[in-house]
Amino acid sequence: MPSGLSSCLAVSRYIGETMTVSLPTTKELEAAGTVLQRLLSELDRMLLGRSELHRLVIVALLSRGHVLLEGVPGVGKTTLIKALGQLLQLDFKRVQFTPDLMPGDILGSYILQESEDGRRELVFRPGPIFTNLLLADEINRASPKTQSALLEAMQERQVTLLGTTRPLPEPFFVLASQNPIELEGTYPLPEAQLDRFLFKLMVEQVSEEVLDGIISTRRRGEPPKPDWALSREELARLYQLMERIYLPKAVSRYIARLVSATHAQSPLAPPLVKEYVAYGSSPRGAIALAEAGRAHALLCGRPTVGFEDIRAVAIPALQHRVLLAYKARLDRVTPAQVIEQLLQQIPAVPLDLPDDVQLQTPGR
Amino acid sequence: MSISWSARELARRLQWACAVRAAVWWSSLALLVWGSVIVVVRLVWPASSDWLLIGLVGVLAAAVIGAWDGTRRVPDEASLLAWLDAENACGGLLMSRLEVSLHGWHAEVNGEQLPKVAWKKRPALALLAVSLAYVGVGLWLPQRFLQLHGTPSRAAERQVERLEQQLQKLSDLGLIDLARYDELRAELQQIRRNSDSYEPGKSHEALDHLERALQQLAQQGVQKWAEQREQLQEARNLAEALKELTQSGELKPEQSKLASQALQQLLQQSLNAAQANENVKELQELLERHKDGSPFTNQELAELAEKLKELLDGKALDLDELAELGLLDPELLRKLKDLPLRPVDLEWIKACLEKCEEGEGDCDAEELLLLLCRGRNRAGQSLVNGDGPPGVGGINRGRGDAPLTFGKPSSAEGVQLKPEALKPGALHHLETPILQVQRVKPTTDRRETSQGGALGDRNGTGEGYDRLTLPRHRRSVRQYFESGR
Repeated sequence: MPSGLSSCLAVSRYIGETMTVSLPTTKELEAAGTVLQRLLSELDRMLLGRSELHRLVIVALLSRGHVLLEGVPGVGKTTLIKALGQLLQLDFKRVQFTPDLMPGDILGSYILQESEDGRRELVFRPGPIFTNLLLADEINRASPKTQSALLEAMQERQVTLLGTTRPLPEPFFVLASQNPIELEGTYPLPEAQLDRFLFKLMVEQVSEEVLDGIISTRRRGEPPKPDWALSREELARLYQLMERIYLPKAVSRYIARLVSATHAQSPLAPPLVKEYVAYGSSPRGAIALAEAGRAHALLCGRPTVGFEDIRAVAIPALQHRVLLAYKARLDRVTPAQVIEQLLQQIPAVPLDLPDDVQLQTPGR
Repeated sequence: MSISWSARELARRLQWACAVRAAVWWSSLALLVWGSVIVVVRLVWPASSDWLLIGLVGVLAAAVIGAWDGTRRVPDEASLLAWLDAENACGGLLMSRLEVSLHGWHAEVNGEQLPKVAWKKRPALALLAVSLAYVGVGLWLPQRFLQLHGTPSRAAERQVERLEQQLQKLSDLGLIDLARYDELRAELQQIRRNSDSYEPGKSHEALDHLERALQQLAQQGVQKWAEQREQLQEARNLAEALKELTQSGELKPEQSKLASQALQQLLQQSLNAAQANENVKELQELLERHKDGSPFTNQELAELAEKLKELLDGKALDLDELAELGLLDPELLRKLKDLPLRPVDLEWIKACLEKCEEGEGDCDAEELLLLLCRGRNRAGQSLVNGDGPPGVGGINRGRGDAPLTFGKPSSAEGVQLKPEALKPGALHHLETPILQVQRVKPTTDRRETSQGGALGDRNGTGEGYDRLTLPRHRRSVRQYFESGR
């Protein structure tokens, strides 16, 4: 059995066993659903034509995960994070990554300052990372050293400088973006660092109708001000509800099988994986799927995670964790296509019935 | 409809389907085995086959075991609930029911939404039908169709008996030796065992071949007997003639001695081919006493003649009996019967003795025998030249060189290469430019060319295809750079 499969199964058992609290009640979920639907609708109103993207960003937010956005300049990445900040009433900062950006520019640094009593002392000036919502624009333009500093802080949720550890604010959410074109002189994120992002979302060009709507309804592309905002208490309640969303064992096994099937040497791997995948997803992918599944269930107003929740978040959660071989580039096969085939070929519940016995659902 | 009921109902449907399916497959397998046992038993032991019906018990047992094995393959309730949850998009509520308290959350599965269990039964039922037919055929097929060997035909059996009689007669008459007799008898028994009423032709062919072999042996044996008999008669004639001429004093001592030596040689050859008996032993002892070439006495000659007569009488052969058994054809029988034993011819022997003396050099016993046998004594001829009686290949006419003939020389038409001019389109194949040097085997691209064209066009003569050798990765690399990435 590949080591990845055994560790995925171990993760599935861990995921299944941690939930000992009672399920959210219908009232609680109804209230949460109302809030989340309001949040989504406001976001859709402010930013046109990207409902699915907004939905996934909300899922990532509820999962306390970070998101990597990939899209050409001018598609609304910064606007999205600004709108989120306004809707969530959270502190928002933006960092434009450039090749000369240093780690201290992000994390903060000590400055020699003269105090009121005339003494000189080192005072810590926090960097832009000390915020709730951080937009790391064009993260692939910064040097690997600076990238590592940010990514390490994202993982640890704290910053340590000169022996002093300072936690980052809660909630802490990073939206990093990278430009898929003009790759000369950039430092693509290494695969080990990509793993720290919960989702990788592709921000595509909007349709003609959406462009027409943008141009005709707003000047200079500026989105309208939100009519409503989510309070911190409501956000905290949402996070509490997240802890009570239950992940059934069958779903956790499904997650484990999906992740193990991303490895070419797995017996579950479909033909596309065997042919084009060089390295499959790590156990972080399984954890990401589980958390994102819970958030998606909460968004749908359910106390339990279903197979459809996992399928809804599989591509964003796994496409940056599956490394394709060179042949995939020549044949123009994308990770999303590979995961799509994975979802089609891996059954949610393997019943192991004989080949000539099938269950036929009425109406199909 | 409660969730528990749904899961149980689905499990029940699956169990039923899997049990029936497994029972059918196991029963089919058991029937195939049973049918094979029936066929083998009836082939080896063609007795009553009613007891073979006991195999039905095994088939029933296999069906029960199969049904039990089939029910073990049904998934557990948790898996079925999870499957129902996935099919009905219940969002995990169904399958969570067994793991956690739902606290007021309720999920139902509509009874009408329960899936139907579909079993593709045609292949299994077809195999079951074939297995049943196989058993039925094995049980009720007539025994004559289930035999490894067919019974020998009656005609072949009669022929075998006749050949056995012939073989026995040849052995009794001493016309074949014991080893050959055993060999032929074993062959006859083998043909009897292998004879098959379904293919009598092969049996008859083998028996006919054996019959021809026995006839040849009989002919050879009879001719050999005739030769020996002639030799003994000639020896007897010479002994009697020598006795009378010696008694009458008509022979000189040298002639008498010479004739005695010739008689000893003739006698030696005759006795070598004769079967050993008391007379033969006595004659051999007599020869032993005169091995120094000393002449026989009159008394010895008289005894010699008497013993040779006894030997001749003992060598009588009932040729008619052999002809009745079919071992001799009538023509040969007539010849053998017309072959008389020569009487004593004193004048001829005296003339040969005188002629032998008149010849150049010393006359010895061999020359005398040659004179005695020339034109008249065929037994003597066989001793000198090794010829046998005519009609059996015994006449030596020397080498059979055939004259060489030379006919007309054969024509060269059709064997010369016809010169043919290459089409202009093929001329470029004579040039082989090097396109590329690469480590891997190059792929070829077969391109169709258009018909017609100008004379200058290399494919203008309508040559069908042109081949180019391409590097392996050219297409892939071009595709990559054209993609704009």
